Amino acid sequence: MKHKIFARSLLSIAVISTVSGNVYAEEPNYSWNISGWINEGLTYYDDGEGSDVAQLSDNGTTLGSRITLSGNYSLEEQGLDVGFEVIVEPLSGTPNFAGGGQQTPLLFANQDNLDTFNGGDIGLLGSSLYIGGDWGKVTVGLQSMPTDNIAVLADPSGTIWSGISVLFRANGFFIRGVDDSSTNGTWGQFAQCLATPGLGIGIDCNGIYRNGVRYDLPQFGDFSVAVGYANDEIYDIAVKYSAEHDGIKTNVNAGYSVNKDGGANVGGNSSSTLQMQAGLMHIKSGFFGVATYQMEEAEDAIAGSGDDTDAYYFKAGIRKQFNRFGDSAFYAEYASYNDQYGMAHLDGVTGSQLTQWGVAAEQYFSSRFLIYGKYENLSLDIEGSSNAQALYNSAEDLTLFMLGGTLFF
Amino acid sequence: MTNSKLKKIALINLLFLFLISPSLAEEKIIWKKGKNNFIQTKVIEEKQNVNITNNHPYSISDLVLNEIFSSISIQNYDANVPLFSVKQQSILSKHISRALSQASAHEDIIFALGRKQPSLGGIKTSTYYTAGRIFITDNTLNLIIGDHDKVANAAYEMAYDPTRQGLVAYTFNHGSREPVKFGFDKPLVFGTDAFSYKTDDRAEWVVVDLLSATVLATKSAVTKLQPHVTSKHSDENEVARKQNTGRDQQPTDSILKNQSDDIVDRFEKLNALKDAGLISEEEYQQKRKQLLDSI
Repeated sequence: MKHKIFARSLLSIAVISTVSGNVYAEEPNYSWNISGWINEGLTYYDDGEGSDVAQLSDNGTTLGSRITLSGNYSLEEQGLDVGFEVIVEPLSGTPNFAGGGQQTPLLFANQDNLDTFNGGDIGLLGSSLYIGGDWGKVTVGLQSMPTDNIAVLADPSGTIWSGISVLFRANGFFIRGVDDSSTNGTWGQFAQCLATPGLGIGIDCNGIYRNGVRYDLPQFGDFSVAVGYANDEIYDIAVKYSAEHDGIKTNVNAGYSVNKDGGANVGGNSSSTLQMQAGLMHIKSGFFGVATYQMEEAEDAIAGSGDDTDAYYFKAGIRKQFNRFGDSAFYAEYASYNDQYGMAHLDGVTGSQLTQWGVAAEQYFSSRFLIYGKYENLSLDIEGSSNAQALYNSAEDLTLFMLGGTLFF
Repeated sequence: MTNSKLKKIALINLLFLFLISPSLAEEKIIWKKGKNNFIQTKVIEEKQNVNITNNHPYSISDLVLNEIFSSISIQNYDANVPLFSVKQQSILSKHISRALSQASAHEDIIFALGRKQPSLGGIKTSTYYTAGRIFITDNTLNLIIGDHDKVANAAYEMAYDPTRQGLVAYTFNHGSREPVKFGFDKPLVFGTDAFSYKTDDRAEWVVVDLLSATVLATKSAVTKLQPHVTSKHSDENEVARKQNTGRDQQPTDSILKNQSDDIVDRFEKLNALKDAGLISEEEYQQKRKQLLDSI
């Protein structure tokens, strides 16, 4: 009898269920969030003249420790979504280029072979407001422009906190020559973009948060496109492709930017940059590979500083779960930064190749924490005057061994 | 621009074209929200496919599925926590029903669903994902849990997707018929004895007897919705009566009663035939499935 009642009810409910939708719990039309990461560790360095242990506290503006406050508010009637983002980051105690200038987030702090740095203050990395809808998203303020990191973050393995093509670390270490002498240049001096103010960011020529306007078009399929206009009359466009087919994850990023105002480096009044990165990862085996290319051209760069540069970066390895803690990753990387010598032309340099290679191991603990160890070597080869040859070609390699941890929150 | 550089760019572009060439794999997206919330069919991988054929396509009510998804909890120290949030239960019920009706015998249903968890008085929100696979064999629903409460890395998303376009796609573990090394291993609590583990050593593989689950769903629905049904139908009948005075009408309740009586009678007859040894187990299961499909 019971079964008869149940079945009868079931049929009745089946009728009702066809006209009544599932009811979800009411969700608020606003949200706030605090997120970010803290990256700390130690670096042992040997520059040929001496060795020591320095504190590793950052990976530059891209991946240095940061705290982000964000929020959004959904205007349902208008079909709009508005929000904000404020990012605070530790600041370096050192101006970001000769002759002054504002402090730069952690590009130099605590990673050097001098004894004078003790970190800096907290500063603002980004502050922006956005409005979005079915038509896309417009973001205004100090922010990451479309081609920022475009040739850095197509790495499908996510092993970017320990290994990316950007040589932030090279900014704090001076090149040491023979006879216990040192140059005035840092390793980052040879990984500079023509139009970017004095930073060794190598393959990420637009890797600085800038004041500007950015428009992200609505996504179509696996593609996304963004265009931007920022201070220094920088126009840029970036295209990203990300998909997973047949167990293979594929990321392809490409960006093109035009800098009409030259920034504060040697780029003159017109330079352009083309950047590409492709990454593949076979999900089941965990094997991955990344290939990156960047080319920068300047039409009226400061005489002697060169008018074009290019750079390559390759990375290959495996990321897979081998233990109960989480994924483990092992990889090797190689990069070549060519003719990115910028102001070193004053020393008589007319061509340069900075070579970077390294191997690394990472261990993840869930998605919240990772520890890593990395060995990295930088070497330099230049062309130029006899003085320049004597100064730089006798430079010792810089060897770094880093042990670090990153906590995500 | 020099010729050598143009060649380099051309080579890189060719590589990109190769990388983004479309896949030939067949996957039916049943439901998708962003890159990390989805329900879709997936061809059973070769290793899992040994001697296995699913009873797909399969027709099952979303009410029965809701009963199933809401009856599994994870044993915790102080209180049991539902495996799926209420919203996840609703999404799964609605779309898994559709997915099972569209899947072929060589396809499983895989899913990944997030849930938002506020903390710090609402100023911090984290997203946790649960992923797995579902398939029907021998009138038994199989649920294999791959990832549970896999936390979204907001920092990682911030780096990869600075303007939060939802571009970050996580790689989920959807479970496997093959034993896995580091699978889901939390103790589960089931609402009734319709549920069990596939084997004692597979804590991530839950099997559900669909006949029992159907009966449970009915019971649950009666408890929750009977007053609503009565009220709704009374109102409808009253309106219909006023609008169609004099017309010969058969009340909805009466139709439903006749249909349900018929089905229950058929189940009882089927059980009797089996108990009397007049039909085999295989015939019994086949007929039972047909009856279930007809509900």
